[in-house]
Amino acid sequence: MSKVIFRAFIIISTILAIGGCSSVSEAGYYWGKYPYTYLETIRSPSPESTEKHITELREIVKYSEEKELKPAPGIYAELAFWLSKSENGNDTEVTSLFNKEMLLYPESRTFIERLLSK
Amino acid sequence: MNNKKFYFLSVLAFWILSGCASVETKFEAFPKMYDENQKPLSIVVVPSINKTTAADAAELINSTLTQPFADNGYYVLPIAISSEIFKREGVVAGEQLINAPMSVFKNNFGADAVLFITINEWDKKYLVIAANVTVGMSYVLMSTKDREILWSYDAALTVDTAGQSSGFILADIISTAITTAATDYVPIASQVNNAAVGTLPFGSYHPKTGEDGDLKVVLTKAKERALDSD
Repeated sequence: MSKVIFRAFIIISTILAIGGCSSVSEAGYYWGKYPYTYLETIRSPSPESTEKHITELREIVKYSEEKELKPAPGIYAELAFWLSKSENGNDTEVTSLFNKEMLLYPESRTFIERLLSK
Repeated sequence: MNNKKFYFLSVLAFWILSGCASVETKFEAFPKMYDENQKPLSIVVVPSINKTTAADAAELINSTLTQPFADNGYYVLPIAISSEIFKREGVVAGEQLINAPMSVFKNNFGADAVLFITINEWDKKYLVIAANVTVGMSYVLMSTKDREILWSYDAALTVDTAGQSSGFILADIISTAITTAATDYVPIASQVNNAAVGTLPFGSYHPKTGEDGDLKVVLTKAKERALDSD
């Protein structure tokens, strides 16, 4: 009987381990529910869908930083972009996030510097 | 017995060789992606060219696009921002940008390559006890240095969207109608983008970049068709 329980334990923990790992890609990125909350901003643009997407992007940043993962390309920049549209955003945070993106991904510099100059 | 086996194998070989699907290594298919001077790092995605009547197809493809390309080792300029810039400049469909000078993408976005996407087919089929969607897509990755095609992909994929049969036809008809209405198309669009990216050589941010040249990929249609812009 204990053998059965042991086997079940092994199977369940394997499933959990695989499930847990699969949320981080081979390149080491975590995306959370990104496609869903982004799609919502395209389908029904509103302050609500913007805030929901901001919350998800913050969640992705938090998880990535906690697990010492590099936030995926564009995550910092996109958070900055949506915050600049939101009532709850402030210029200091927006600029600091854009700078973080440029530091992490230097190839984004041309694009972001043009955005900031406007 | 041996003769039979030989016969079977030769038929199989003939079938593979004569079929329209070609099997090549990633390096043979896309050599420029392994050339340090041509391999792109940053990609700007232009608005999709949607040849179908499904208005939401482009939104679905767009929102599930960054993830597989980034996971494959590339820097994708945030589509949320770039698409707003294109919109502000009056560009709503990718057709408008096919003949645009590459300096537009190089100077404004600092992009090494532009990704053009065409949605050729998005057919939802509702059968009595099943439902599926056939999605035909082509992707063209063009260098902003010299307009060279670095990578391309063109294929159609059929994905089931309905669940299991209950064994009662009437119940199934009703449940197919219900599940189809509420179908979550995000995983389906992801599957389509993932299938395409499966043939894309790993980019600089992927741990195995430069090591996948020998990997065999199945190219279902002529590469050239993906470039057709009419």
